[in-house]
Amino acid sequence: MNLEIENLTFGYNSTPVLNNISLKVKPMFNVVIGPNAAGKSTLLKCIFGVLKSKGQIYLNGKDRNSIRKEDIAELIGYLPQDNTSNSALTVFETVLLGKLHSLSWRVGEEEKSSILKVLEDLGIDDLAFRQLNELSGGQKQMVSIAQLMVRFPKLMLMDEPTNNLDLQNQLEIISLIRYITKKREINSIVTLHDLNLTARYADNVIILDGKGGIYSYGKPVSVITSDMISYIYGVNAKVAIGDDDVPIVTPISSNRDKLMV
Amino acid sequence: MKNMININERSTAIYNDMIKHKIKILLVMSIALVVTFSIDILTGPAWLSINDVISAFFSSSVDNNTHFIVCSIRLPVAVMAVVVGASLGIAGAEMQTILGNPLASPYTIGVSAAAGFGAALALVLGVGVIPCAEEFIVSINAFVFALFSSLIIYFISKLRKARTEIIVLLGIALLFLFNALTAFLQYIATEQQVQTVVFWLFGSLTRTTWLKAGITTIVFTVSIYLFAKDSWKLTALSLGDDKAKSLGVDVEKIKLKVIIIVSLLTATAVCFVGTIGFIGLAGPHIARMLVGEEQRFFIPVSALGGALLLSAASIGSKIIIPGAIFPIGIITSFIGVPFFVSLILRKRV
Repeated sequence: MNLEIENLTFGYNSTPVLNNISLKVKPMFNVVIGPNAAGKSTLLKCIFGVLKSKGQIYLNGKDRNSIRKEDIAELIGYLPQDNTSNSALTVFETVLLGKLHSLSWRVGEEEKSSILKVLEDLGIDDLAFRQLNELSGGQKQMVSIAQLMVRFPKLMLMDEPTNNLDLQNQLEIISLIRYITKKREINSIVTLHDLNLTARYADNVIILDGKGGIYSYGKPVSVITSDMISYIYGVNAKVAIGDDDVPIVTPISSNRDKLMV
Repeated sequence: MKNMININERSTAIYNDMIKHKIKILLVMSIALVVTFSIDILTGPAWLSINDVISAFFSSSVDNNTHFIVCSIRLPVAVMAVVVGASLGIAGAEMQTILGNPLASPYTIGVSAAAGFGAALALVLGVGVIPCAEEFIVSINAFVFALFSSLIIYFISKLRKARTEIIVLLGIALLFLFNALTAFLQYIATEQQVQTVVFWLFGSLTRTTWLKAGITTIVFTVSIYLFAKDSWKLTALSLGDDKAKSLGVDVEKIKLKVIIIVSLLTATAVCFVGTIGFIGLAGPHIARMLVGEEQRFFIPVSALGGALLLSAASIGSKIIIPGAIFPIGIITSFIGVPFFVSLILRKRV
């Protein structure tokens, strides 16, 4: 699904977080990066519609506001950042809620098997009948990702899906999101903090400048540079390009370190 | 591939077993409720035998006294205990769901106290907040104040994005406020009015008539139907507001709907039987422990839990002092307090 954003503006109270942003996001594995409070989560919330913003958002050329709420929930899958629920629901019941709009009183065999398939893909099928309040933060995060995947959305918006995950799970999850994006030919927009993870897996990177605008949008090899890291994050870093054309970032020091000496 | 099919079959079987287990719990609780309901009809100042009760229903040979005791006194009271218990059970369950706090209930966050104040206002001053026929002033006042206090909690929590602890504290503040206002009304009331208000506040099923039981049953039936219709959305709410929104739930709309229904349920129950505590807290907790928070089961099991507790309390109120009927509101608190304390201690562990 093609996503087009035109003159998007949003602010909390009078402080603008996103200021007149325009962007065409191709159906690929897109990663949004930027410093804290740059508006990464806000951008996803505006696209999904949790926050009411100014400007236009088009999904496959169709104005987002003209699409029914129920259809939006079918088209866009949104994973919020906070996944710390301590509900007494089981993992199976939680993932089942991903199909909320098609659920009837009786859960059909097809729904059951699609849930079990996703749990298996994520390697958490052994947790299926455990309650959420018994799981670790990382396990809860995996359950939330499963809940989103079971919906087969055309556009996946994921706010820091690697939160609370260990290194192995981070790599597996990002790799899986990328695989699903390509296999289902959908559009994924994911916010991340890890520049090396971004460089290795993203097809395209959207860099927010922290002043309400977009610094650049493009392939990791073109946009992840030491100049960008210095300007956006205030960090001195070495960026080497690996054999497979993947930038490798080695942070050296913070620009603010000089002030502390 | 074969291995995958086996895993799927095994998991589906586990899911089906889980559902069967929950249905079994529903059945066992329903049978237990039939038992308490029957005992409730048999007990009272004059003990009746099962034969007396059956004869009162189906035979013309039974004496008029027995027929009157069973059909006009015991039966409506037993029905009212079940329906009020079930109403407070689901009201507490949904209050806990929308506030995301297992300590919320119509009683603990002041909705019952507000309804009590509304009723006292009518009983003492004869003031109705909405113009209506005199016989409905108590009920309408109770409803309006229950709704008013629910809306205060809802809008402040929405406006300030308050944490759940703050919402509960706000509810406790409202509880004190409405209790103080009711106490003030009692202070300025005549002796006879004070007696009416105090007796009303104790909570009692003895004032039950078929009309009151009928109204409460209708409100309960409509409410449980509306909750059941939204059961998946309410289940999604138990994951938190943001998560429910991400699943496409119109959170504000459903919360407002739940608050209105909970107020109606609480007000109807409270205005006919007085303030009865802890049923709205205990019912959902029993349900959560037995079937979790999936609302297709959480709602009916909360209803059954509340109904069972109040039905049992109704029996207790009649046998605690032989020959007299103890106010049921006191009995439910006697049952509820140890339950509440054990809950807190369990959480600490």
